[in-house]
Amino acid sequence: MKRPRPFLRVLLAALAVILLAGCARVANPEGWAPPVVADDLAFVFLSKDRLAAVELGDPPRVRWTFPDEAKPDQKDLRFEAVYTAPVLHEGVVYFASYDGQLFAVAADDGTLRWRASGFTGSIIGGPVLADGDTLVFGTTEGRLYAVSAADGAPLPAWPEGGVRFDGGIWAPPVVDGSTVYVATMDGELRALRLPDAEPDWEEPFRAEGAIPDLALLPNGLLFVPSLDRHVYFVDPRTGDEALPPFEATAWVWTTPASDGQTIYFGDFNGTVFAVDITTGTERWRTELRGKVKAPPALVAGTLVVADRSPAVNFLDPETGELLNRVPLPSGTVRAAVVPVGDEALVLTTKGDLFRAVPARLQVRELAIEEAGG
Amino acid sequence: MIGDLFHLIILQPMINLLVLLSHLLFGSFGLAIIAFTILVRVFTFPLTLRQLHQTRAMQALQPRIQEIQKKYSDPRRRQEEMLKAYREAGVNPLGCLGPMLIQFPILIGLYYAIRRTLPESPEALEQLSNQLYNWSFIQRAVPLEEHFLGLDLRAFGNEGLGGFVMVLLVGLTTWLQSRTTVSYATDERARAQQQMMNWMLPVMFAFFALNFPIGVSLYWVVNSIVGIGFNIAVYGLPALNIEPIFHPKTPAPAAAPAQPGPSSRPAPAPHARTSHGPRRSKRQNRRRRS
Repeated sequence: MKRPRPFLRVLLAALAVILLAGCARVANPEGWAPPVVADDLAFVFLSKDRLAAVELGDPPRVRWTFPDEAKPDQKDLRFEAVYTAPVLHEGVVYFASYDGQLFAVAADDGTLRWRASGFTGSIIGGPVLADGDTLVFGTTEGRLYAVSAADGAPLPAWPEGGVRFDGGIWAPPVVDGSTVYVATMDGELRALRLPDAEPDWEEPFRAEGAIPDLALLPNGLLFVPSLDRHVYFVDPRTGDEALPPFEATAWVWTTPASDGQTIYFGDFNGTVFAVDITTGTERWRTELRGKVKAPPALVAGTLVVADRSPAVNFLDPETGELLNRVPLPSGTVRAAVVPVGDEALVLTTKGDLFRAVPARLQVRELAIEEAGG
Repeated sequence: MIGDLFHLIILQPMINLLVLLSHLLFGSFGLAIIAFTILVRVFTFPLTLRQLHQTRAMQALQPRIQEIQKKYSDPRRRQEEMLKAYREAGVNPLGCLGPMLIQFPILIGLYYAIRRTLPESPEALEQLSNQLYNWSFIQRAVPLEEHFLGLDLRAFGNEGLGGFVMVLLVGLTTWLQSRTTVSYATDERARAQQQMMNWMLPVMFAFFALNFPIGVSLYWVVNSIVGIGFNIAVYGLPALNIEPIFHPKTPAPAAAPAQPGPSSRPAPAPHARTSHGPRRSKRQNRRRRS
């Protein structure tokens, strides 16, 4: 028998670890920004590093893409993964990427207006437009920034390097008038005055778990979903709970669709809820096959919910009855369902764009023609 | 299939245990990794102790093994005699594999667990929800704090000063663990090989640590420190006059047979492994009785 060599065994074991580790499949940033549509032109991230302006004709056609290597000033531009819907304002598309860059691109031809970087952390939450000329966004390192939409310069009245928070900011901030509401992943919700970044509430609102998303409801309450499996309804004037917390069955990481009286949202167990926002009571719940990350949409009297299985589900908003379920061929859906007239756009993680038609309870893929194609 | 089993038996419990420990330890994932490492070492302590005793027994047996190697030129016969020697001394040459085999899936599992528990992307956090048990205190504990003592536990060893410090610590603690491990090589060539391995291993592990998240390196460093403690407890540390706490039940170095021959029996070891009779196993005793 050969003399055993434990060191060699350790070495071999370690090498195997390395080999296996090399095969590790860890989710890379892909982004889940939904399209933004204006005048039959959709601004869509067709991949994690490519924004396209798509004319929604028949067939749909790419007008321009960004970055465009043919343009000298965009030749060396790169970005990775966008999580918040682009802001379209006065002919400019603004968006921020996970690798910490902020872009302003001309909506008509994709020309780069300006680019800003050097922020601390990755950008998931934002930007959102405030006061018509300011972009507000947060970073995963807990910094909240406010910059001029004209040139990307920081607001002079704001602290240099942004406002610091203990937790990372993943939820796009909500702006109402001159107040910015910011949720953090350590479960705090704060209100700041936009002009000087001073706190607007005496105490922050505190949830039991992380707050990954945030929305302002039609009745003026803040919709505060949490990974503690609850949704909180917070009074934006005081930061107090306005309604009892709503208990879901799993993480809630989405924003709701609303008809003014009832909101509709799903959780990570695939349960869709309809909740009366005057009382906070549940009207109905329906189980789907996949977990729901994508914010749903109310389109032509039908609730359109995309789940992660992936499928597009058509539900009766009155009863929650599942009217039809249309599986999608590949990828999954995390981006919000976007109403366009009597239809809705559904974007998958593969960059495929689908049109959901509630009148026929059907979904069809949009075969997008490339520019010049 | 194997992947599913690995996920169900190793990875998912590990992720949830780490989240639970982090929740209990003030939300610190670094402390959770340290506690996890100590827990693993405590639970595998009987195996580790056995391995250390086996190593010591191997060392004691080396003169006799050398003698057999010199004496028998026929490889088959030599192997038989060596096996016999191991059996009679109560030594299993593969005894050191137990703790190693346990470390192996733990290392792989921890690598995945850290990368999944400290998500590097929003998608990864979203997918983490699939891994967590449906207990509210686990569900609400994420996302975890990824910083510990100023180190980003998600970052790799080749990223920044913190990573470099961890790489150095991995190398240093691995070297110290090698140094406190008893060597059973007696001939010059084997000793030289072992000396080389004592240096090669820390260098290689430090190299590996460059490509591991700092959290995994933290596990390795704590694991090595505990291992050093175990080595000192079992072998002592003569340089500092530290006596072993756990005295080995192993034979003292056996004398070579006076007149070695194919049929001669080796000299009896002063400490037999069992109480079943000198150099006899239970099975041998049963055979004798029958």
